Amino acid sequence: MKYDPACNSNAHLVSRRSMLGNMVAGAAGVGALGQLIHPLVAREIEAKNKQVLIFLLNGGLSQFESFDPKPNTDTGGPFRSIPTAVPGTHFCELMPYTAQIADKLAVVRSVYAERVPGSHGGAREYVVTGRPPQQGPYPWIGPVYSRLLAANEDLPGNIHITPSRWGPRQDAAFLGPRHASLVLSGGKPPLNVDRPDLFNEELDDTRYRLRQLADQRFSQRRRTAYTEAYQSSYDQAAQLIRQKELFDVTKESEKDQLRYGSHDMGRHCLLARRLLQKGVTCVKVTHNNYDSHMENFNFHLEQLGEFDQPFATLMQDLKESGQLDHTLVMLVTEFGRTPVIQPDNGRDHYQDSWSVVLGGCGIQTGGVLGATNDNGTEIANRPVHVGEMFHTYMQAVGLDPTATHLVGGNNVPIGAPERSAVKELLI
Amino acid sequence: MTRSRAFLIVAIVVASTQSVSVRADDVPLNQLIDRHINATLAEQKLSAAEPAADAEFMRRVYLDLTGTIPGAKTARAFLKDSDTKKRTKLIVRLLASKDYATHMATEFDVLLMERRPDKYVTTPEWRTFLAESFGANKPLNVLVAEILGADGVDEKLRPAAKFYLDRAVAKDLLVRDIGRLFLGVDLQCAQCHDHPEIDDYLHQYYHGLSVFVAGSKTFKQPDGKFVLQEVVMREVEFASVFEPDKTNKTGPRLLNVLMEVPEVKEGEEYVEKPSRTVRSVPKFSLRKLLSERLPSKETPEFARAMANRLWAMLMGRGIVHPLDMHHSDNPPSHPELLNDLATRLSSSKYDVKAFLRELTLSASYQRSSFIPDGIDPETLPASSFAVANMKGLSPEQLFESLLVATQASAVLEHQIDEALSEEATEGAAKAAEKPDSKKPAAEEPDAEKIVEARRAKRAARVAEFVTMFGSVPGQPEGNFAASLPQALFLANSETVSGWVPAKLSNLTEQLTGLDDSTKIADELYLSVLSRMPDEAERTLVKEHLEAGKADRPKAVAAVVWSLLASAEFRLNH
Repeated sequence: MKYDPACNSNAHLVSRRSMLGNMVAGAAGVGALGQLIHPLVAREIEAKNKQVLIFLLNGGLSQFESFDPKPNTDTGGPFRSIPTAVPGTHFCELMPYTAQIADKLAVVRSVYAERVPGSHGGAREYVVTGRPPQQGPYPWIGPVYSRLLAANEDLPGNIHITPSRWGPRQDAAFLGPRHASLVLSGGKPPLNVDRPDLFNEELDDTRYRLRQLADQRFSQRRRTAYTEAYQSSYDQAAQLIRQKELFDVTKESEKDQLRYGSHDMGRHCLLARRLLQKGVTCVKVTHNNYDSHMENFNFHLEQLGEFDQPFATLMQDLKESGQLDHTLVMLVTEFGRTPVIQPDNGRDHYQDSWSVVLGGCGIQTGGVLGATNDNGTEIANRPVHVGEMFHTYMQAVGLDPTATHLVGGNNVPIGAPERSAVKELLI
Repeated sequence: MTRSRAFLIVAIVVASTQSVSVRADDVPLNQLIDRHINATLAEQKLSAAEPAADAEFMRRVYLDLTGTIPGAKTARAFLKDSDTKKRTKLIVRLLASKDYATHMATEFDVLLMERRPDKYVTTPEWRTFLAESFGANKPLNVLVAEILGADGVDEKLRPAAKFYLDRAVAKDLLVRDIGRLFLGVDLQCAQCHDHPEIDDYLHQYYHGLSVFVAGSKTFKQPDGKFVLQEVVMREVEFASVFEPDKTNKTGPRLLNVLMEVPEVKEGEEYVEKPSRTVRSVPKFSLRKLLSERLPSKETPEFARAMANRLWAMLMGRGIVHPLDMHHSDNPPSHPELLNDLATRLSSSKYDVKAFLRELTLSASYQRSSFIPDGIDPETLPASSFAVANMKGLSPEQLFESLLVATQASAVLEHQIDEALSEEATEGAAKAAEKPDSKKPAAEEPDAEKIVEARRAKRAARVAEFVTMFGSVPGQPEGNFAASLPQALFLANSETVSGWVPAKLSNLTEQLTGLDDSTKIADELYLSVLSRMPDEAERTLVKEHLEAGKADRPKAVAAVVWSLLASAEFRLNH
């Protein structure tokens, strides 16, 4: 009898449940977490002040219509390819602005992963955790950066700008909710950031102070892991409420608002720039609607038409302000799309090969790594596994992906131990 | 405080260690529990916490048995009561209450469905079924048999089919969840090979369990209702990924017990043969076999897993922990205790109320969460049960308790009615925009519809709490966790902050009307924290109200909120 394995690994490094079970205070905030997850000493110190900007193109960006065009082939589709700032490297014509900054990018055209259960969700998790989802839950990359890089206690370490309605997710897994993404749905400030009419700023301070006094009394002679985590969540809340303008993109100059564009992606990219400038460690921007099972070409025309300019503008701005030197930029998607074009002009999911783009801190830019064959049906040169990419994302900002998180007595490797970073991509 | 406040058990236990081995059947379970726990404490030379004070016990037992804190009046009456048997009486009263049934329904819904979205059976139907079962104290094995044997056809038992139907009768998911929830074993990693780390979890256990459900799938009846159907299945073939050429076979199996499947003549296997239009029904149903054999004495793992789960619900940690990791490399913290709990559960015909009564009567349950003076908390692991383990309130417990504490039921009703009338106005405006719409003019909604609309709106408010404080769908609830969005929600959300300001005779309004700051402090602490304040706390309230006398309702609201948002309120301690 055939079965669809929910577990295709032969080496469970850490069983999900035993890990959760041991997580006495997976919840714990700063204080208790410090005891649970030991710091990665050497490399972490030099990694401080590094920042990360992640673009997640949701649904599965077509490599053909973006970074690995195959014009005039049976699989290439209707679009032409155009030259870029890197001689000899061509992008699809849907990305004219990005083509002009290709020298600030490293394009990997040969990324692959095994098929995993859970369609988009599973594949996405593979990309952002470096582990097949059925071994999880592992922390997503944003929470990992928040845990290992965030130096500024006053700011959330990991902010997710998304066009969709997106409730709180436990994307920090065993790193605890302290590092979970703070979600800005529709680029708006986080939910419940406005204090109720009843309390002005002064009375707000009073009620938080009274709350803290109550907790101090309660935690005398009681186990403190929970109370510390709880206190920390209110400290963060109080700080955030005072810094609401952090999320207000209209505080940016009108000129910049025009340059980035008035559509959502433009506003979200400008908001990302603002957050990075204010010192937020990791900012993720999601752009939706790449799942083009039908009308792949129209969809990409529309979506990349929105994405291309603000992305390139943001890269340019980060370069000019010098921030790119300490900011890693990643452009990822859960998988690529099939070479085969369906009768209704669609392309389906493809995990045999797709493209990922990096830039900024620690990255060897201005080149292409790996290649697919003439019509993009398979990898011709230097296959790169998503797990290797995860290691690379860590190493680029000076973190050691072979070090471990210590979770309830278990050492959990930061990157999948059977993988390693892609040296060709790193400076 | 002196060391004498620590309850040293060594002396007491010399006698009881001996009696543990006697284990007379007539010893009440609550005493048996204490003997086992105390014997281990003595053996490990650990000090236990003192007995919980009345207030601490009362709040805990209310939350554990009814899902909410007691109201101020009830709390005051209990604290004043001088009856020496008042704890026992309270336990008996709570177990007989309607709130007990509702709370257990919520707990078991979350346990069995793990907050999956509704598919074919709605949550209200399912919770009603569970509440009726727990209210009538239906034996737990009977309830589980109804769930595992359900086909969704019989109207009365249809809600029980939610376990299968709302998992879309997906085989691998069912195998994993039946194993985890009813047998205490997570066999997921044994799907493709023997478990790489756990010697007890064999590849054939996974597939043996899968035989029971492999022939089942959904069937859409002509009336549109989805039910279960089953095709004949006797065994499955499987091969380890390490030896793909070596095919193995197994029949239906509950761990190491292989079940017989009666021979049926070829051509006579079915009551209803499989076809597109008719629900296929075999003469011999493997699902029925599962429902008869799993929740029974023949499968001792069932009673152990259930006893351990009920224990963990109240004690904040399983005797085997994690709860679905029963195997020889993860031994129980108190092996004899688990044996006794399982034996008593099954020999009492799976009487859940009796089981919970004994548990809550035990001194082990009724311990304080205060660490004994001078003792390092690190030396008292959660598995020792030397100190009461603190638990976070579940989203539902938090919702109900906030409502009880703020005495804001009327405010909530007002919020709900406002939302409904807003919707009605919007609806009317939309209808007015389309004058040619064929719909008849808005009718007066009947009473039943209004009740239902209010119920749904209230459920939506609870759902807000679930999204904010609960686990993600398909995952078991984890330990207490605190996050920034949660803090923002409790501080600023319309739902919660609507209950705090003085309105419609809620707590803040009542307190604002009192003249004496001591009275205010007493009523406040009793209402929110179910205990009386100490002198320092009374002084704190007095000083705060003094400083905020310019706007007294606001000053009262601030201090009410500070206690609602305190760890003491957020935790069951």
